[in-house]
Amino acid sequence: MALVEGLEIYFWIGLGVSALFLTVGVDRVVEAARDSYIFRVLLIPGVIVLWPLVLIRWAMLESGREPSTRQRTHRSTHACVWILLAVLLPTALAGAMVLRAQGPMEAPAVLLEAPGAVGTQP
Amino acid sequence: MSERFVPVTWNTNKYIYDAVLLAGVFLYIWVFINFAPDYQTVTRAVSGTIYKARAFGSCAFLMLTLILCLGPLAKFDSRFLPLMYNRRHFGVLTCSVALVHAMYVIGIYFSFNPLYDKYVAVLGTNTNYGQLLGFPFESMGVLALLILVIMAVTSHDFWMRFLTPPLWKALHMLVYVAYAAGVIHVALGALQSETGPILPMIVGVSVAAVAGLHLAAALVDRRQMRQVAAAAQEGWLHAGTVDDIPDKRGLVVELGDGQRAAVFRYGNKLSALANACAHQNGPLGEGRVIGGCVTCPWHGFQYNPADGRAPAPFTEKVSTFRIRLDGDAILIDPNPLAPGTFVEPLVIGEPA
Repeated sequence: MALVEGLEIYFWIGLGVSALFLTVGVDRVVEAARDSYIFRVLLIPGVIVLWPLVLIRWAMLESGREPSTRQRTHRSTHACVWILLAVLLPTALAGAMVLRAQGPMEAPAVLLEAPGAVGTQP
Repeated sequence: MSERFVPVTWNTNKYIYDAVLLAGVFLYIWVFINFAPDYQTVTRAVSGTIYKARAFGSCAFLMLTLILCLGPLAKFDSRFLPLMYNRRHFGVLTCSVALVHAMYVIGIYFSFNPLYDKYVAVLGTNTNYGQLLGFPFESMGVLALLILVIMAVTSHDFWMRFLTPPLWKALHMLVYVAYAAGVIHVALGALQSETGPILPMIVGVSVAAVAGLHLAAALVDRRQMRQVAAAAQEGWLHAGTVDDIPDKRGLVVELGDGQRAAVFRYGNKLSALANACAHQNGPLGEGRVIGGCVTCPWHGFQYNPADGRAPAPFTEKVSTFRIRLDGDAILIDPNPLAPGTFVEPLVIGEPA
């Protein structure tokens, strides 16, 4: 239950942050958002989910601290990830096939005769 | 594109794309619910509601598989590029379908748990994480769904601008983790509850297609990548020769430190930009110069090759690089200039 309570608290804080950010902050830090209001409704779920990150980015933009302008390629990460997954995923699938239950539960069904149809019983 | 944010930028192509997507989902769900029961070899009797849950779950898995295949396919064959155009709507719909699956599953299997709230029961009922047979595969589904939700709620262009493209891209590369979690979720869940060959074949082919295409794309990318030669002079790097670049095309070069630039030839001029589009990190170097602007192959965002700025009223900008000619060889300064910095284009045939 602690998990649910924690998530509830996280949600309510996120809702508060979204109200503050989408009415005050967004105009201050993103120029293209000024005088544009309807799209902000779409941002509410994102702010609720990522509110700690939103606060960090908001603070960075307010203070003028911007990360490096170097746009590093994601291709090298992509290659490493897929070499790993190309091993992991077939292994997981093969393991799952080995684990697949083959017990009596899977034996073919046998049609039983109804009690009244058995003529040899007394 | 970017002068002011709107909720969704619609056009005819997007309407068609979304209509086909929705029709495909409805058709799949209908076919699954009506015909799959004839082909399933389940170990225990399955109700109609469970078939609905499985219909949405398998649909989400296949949609995610298709989404992950689109990137490499578009790299190999430009005819797939239109499918990349509205991939984020595809992603949001996939997340929605996965959510419906989760709601069905919670309603069927966890609503009447005497010990826990139904949402807590998803993770709290089975905690045998130390064993493979009977592993709580639901947790893998929850992880995949959580990532899909994060991606869906940050799919608006605003998030790219607010979080910066590198951070946004890193966040959205979690889709690979989501796919891996989805595969394990299916392998230790649905695959264990039936005995027929159809489901393992579908999952196996999906995994082979996604992993194979991405590995092939990584390999091709590595082969195509022009490793710049050792420093020619004063820290400048040798990017290639003028003849390496067809007119109105780009040449992508690896500059080290994970950074790439694209040198474009247009008429008798050369300019160099960062290879990553400011919109969604699309590969600018694989695009073309159209109407005097470098055009991203993914969504058509355009940049002036001399200063890396999108034409007014748009405001995107990418880094530029200084280049010079040494005979026929193109030399590039690996240090990017601030996005939007004007660099006089090199004129081929004139001394630098």
